[in-house]
Amino acid sequence: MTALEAVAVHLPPLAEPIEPVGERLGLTDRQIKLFRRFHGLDRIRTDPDGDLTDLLTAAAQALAPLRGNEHRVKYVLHARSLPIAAPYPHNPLHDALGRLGLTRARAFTVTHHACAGSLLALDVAGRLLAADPDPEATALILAGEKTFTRDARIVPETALFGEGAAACLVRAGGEHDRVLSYAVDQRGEFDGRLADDPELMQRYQRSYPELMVAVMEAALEEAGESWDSIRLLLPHNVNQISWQRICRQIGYPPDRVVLDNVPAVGHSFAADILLNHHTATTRGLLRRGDRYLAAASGIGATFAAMVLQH
Amino acid sequence: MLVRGPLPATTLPRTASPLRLTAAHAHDLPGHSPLAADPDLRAFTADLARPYGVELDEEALAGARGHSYDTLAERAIRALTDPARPVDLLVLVYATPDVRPGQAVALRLAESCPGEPLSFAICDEGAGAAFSALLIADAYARTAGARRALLIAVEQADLHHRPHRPARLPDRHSAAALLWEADGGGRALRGTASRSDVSDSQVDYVLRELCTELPEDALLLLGPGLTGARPPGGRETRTARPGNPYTGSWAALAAALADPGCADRPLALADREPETGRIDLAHWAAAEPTP
Repeated sequence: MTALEAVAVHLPPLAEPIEPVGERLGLTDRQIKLFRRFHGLDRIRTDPDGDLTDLLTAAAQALAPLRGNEHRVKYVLHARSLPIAAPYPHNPLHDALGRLGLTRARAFTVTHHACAGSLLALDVAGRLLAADPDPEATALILAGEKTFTRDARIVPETALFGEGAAACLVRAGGEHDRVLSYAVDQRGEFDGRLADDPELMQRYQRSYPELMVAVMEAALEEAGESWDSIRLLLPHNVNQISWQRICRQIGYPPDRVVLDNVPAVGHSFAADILLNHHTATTRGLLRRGDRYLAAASGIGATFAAMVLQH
Repeated sequence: MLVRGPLPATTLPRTASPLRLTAAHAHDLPGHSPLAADPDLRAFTADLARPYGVELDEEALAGARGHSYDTLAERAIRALTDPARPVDLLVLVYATPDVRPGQAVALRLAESCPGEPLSFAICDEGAGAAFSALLIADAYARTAGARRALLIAVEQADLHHRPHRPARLPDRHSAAALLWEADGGGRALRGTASRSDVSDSQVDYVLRELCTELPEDALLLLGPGLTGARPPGGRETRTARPGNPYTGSWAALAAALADPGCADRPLALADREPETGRIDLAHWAAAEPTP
């Protein structure tokens, strides 16, 4: 059963208040205030001087158990929200592997699930490892992206993107952070640019809570768990208000949703789940054996959830 | 489509994988997609290129050149599937950017594919991604019960920026797709092998080494990354079109599958991605009779 061996994060040095970020995006004062007061956003982490290779390299270098075990890494997956991240033939993933001494690993980007991509990458990595003849083989999942274009800076009325990055070492089996279930619901009817299509935006916003709850409950059911047995919810960091509403809807205590990174980092694409996992374990919020739920959605749209056992 | 469930406690060995390569399809598309005229393409490409100090290709942008991965892949879906045979997994494979570079095409494709499969894309591995897709399909068959998988590689010929150095680019817009099924018939995947960091001078040696385990009567298909490589001693080979660096290997496989003279022979496919120096090999058994 797929297990997370270790998770590490890299937060870029600049923590900029959302006001100048919003001004650069051309948001009105009212829109910026809504982000702060209603959505619970405060600061956005970015690295204006670094590129994607720097970001991915730093995340992997923060992963202490990787050092000395590079030879065990058989697969490297970049869980990426945007289908394209650099002008061809630039290849930040492989440039990062060169710096990390991981060029022997098979490495590719997993994409088109947008910000739910890290859950997909965990599933793909787990299955590749389970099918691999070497029981000691590991997979390295990297997540984190640059806020290089408008669609990578803002989800209208919903979120501001940040450049938090994470790395996760995965094994085919292990004692802790074992994957118990994975559910994904793909909704191609939400394909399109939300920023240009108010009707699409409205439909997506209206459907979002119901679809998010449905996929989380599908993952719970498959794992044989219920909301009562879930110690912690690791969300994607779009904002605080949407998760508070979902908590009201399902009767789940909002203080058990790890929302620390929403005001402090920004929505870091597919890295959110791993960032929040790191926060949860660093804060000691999970005890051995606890079941927890990770959930994310991605524009396009994908809704995904995963139950794990710490 | 909702995919559920943990990995089963046991995993089927490769020899027990139910999936067989049953069909393949390749096509080119002339002309250009209307999406290449969308002003969003310029805005996105400019933002993408700026941090890397790369210039836009104004001719390609003004000429609205390029094709859509959605259109290219959809034709492959129509060619290889029918509603009575639902697909469980769809993997889209690409290396160069789409004319709608921000779109999650794989999700849209799942909607037009029988079975509304779990779908996603892999990229950033060049020619190697075609082999990663094979491994992924095999893994989902052996650990997730996938009964039918559709792998689609796409490439379109026009970049809208000027690459910072020479790089492999297709000379036409193309797609190539493989259908794997568990209903009987087709070819079982017998094995895969790979070597990384292979320099130009090592290519012939490594290719020969990788091919030592192949059955003697196997037909070896050399992908576009192995154009000019010396065929391992005495082995019959066919070479893919070099102008299709990212779909050519599967197109060559499709041609071999369609060739009645190859039906009773094992097939092998090898390719090299010069950017990463990786050589991959996959080989299939001779075709099993359809029940």
